[in-house]
Amino acid sequence: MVIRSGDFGLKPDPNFSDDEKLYRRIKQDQIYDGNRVLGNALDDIQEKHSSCSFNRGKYSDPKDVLDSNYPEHNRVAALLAGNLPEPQPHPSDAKILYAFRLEHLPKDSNYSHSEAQVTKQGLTATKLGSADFRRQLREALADKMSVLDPSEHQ
Amino acid sequence: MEYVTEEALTRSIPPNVVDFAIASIYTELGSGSFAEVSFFQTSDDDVCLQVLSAEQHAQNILWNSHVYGWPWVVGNIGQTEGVVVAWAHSSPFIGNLEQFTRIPLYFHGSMTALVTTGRSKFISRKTRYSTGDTSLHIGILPRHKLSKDTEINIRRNAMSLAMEWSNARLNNDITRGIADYSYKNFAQVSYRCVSSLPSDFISKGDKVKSSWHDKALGKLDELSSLTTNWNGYGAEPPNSAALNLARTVIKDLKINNLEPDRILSSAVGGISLCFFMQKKYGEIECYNTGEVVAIIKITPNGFREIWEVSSIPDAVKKIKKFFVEEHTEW
Repeated sequence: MVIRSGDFGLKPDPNFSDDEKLYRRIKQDQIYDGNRVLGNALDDIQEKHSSCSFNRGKYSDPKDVLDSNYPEHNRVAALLAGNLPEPQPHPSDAKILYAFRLEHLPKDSNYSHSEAQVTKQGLTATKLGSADFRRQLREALADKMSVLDPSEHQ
Repeated sequence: MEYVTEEALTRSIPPNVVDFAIASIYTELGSGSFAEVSFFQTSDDDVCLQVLSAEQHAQNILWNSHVYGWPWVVGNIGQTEGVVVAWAHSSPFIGNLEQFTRIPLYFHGSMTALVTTGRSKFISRKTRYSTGDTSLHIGILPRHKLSKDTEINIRRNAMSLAMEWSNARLNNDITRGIADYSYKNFAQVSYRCVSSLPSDFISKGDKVKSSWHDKALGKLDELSSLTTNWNGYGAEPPNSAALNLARTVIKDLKINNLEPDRILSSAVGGISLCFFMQKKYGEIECYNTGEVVAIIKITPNGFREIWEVSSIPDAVKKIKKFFVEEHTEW
C-alpha cells in the first residue's frame, strides 16, 4: 500500500537497496517480447524533462502505480534498483560517461515517487545533446525493465 | 503423416502420385511463431525422411496449440546448380498473384535460406531440401488464431494443388521442373489455392488489403487527439511537426511495402512507428521537436543501433533491409 507524504513529510530516503523494485505503469502496446518495455514508453532522462518517474517498491505495492484516470495504462513495469544500466559513453567523446542514478523525490500525494536520472561526471545532466543519444539512454533503461505478470498487481 | 495419407486416400489420389506427393507441416520450432504446410514432389528418400520427422514434430505443435497467421504461397519453380532461379510468391494481401519476384537465395549446405513475403512483411526460413525438384509451400504468418477446421482446409487445398502438379507431371506437362509449367498457370493454381481458403482467413486478409496505410494515417488522427499528460507522467501529445513527420514516414513505408506493427504516441512527445519480427525490433520515432530517430535491435544478442535520421527514405530502406536479411549480417 502506498505511503502518503503525511507519514514521513517530504523527507526523502536516499537509501535504495539493490533488490528494491521501482514501478512504472505502462500500456499493453508498450510491451514486446512478452515482458520487455519499449523505449518510447519512457521519458527523456534529463532534468528539463523531469526525468523518468517510478514508485519505490519500499514504500508502495506494484498496484499502487496504477491510476484509474489512465485505464489503458494497466500494466506495471519494474526496475531493480541494483540493476541500473551501465554508464553510457557520449557518442562525440567516449571518455565522457553518463551514469544512471535513482533519486527519491516524494510528492504530496505519493511519498514513493522517485526518478531515474542521468549524471554527467557525477553531476545531474541537464542537457544530453542529440536525440539519438537521448534515445540511447531511454533504451538502456528500458532494457533493464521487465513487465510484471498481472497477477502480481491485482 | 498418417493423417495426410488418410486424407490422400479419401481423395482417391492415384498411388503413383502419392509416391512423390509428400505432405508436411513445418513450424519454426525455436520461436513457435511460424507454421507452414509444404507439399514436396520429390523422389529423394533422404528428403522424405526429413519431411517425416518434421511432420511428426510439427503435428504435435499445430494440433495442440493455437496457430496465428496470414496465409501465403510460395512455389519453388526450379533450381540450377544450387541457385534457385526464382520464387513465385503470392498472398491475398499482395493482390496480383501473377506477378513473380526473383529473390536471390543463399545455400548453406543442404539448407536454403528463403525469403518470402506475406502482406508487407518479410520472413526468412530454411528449407529442408535442395534437390532442384518442384515444390509448393503454403505458409501461415503469425497473426490470427486459426480454427482446427481452417488448418484442415489449408491442408486440403495444399493437397489439391500438389495433386494438380502431380497430374501435370504425369501428363508430361512438367518435364524438367516447374519451369516448363508456365508461370501463368502456376499463378492461377496458387490463386485458387489461396482464394479457396476459409472465410476466417480471407475476411481478415481483405481488411488488410483495403489499405494498411490508410489505417496508419487514421491512427495518427486518433493520436492527434491526445491531451497533455496522456500517460499520467506529464507526456506531451504529438504535435503537428511529429504528425507530419510520421505521415512522411508512412508514405515511404508504403513505397517500400513495409507495414508498421504499431503506431504509438511517445512519452517524450511524438509518434513512434514500431516493427517486430521474432527477435528483431525496429522503430522510427518522430519527435515534437522535429527530430527523428531510428532504431534497429536484435534482442537475443544485444545488437542495437540508434541513429538520428537525416533522410526518412534511407531510414525506411535500412529498416526494411534489417528485417529481410539474415541475422549474420548484423
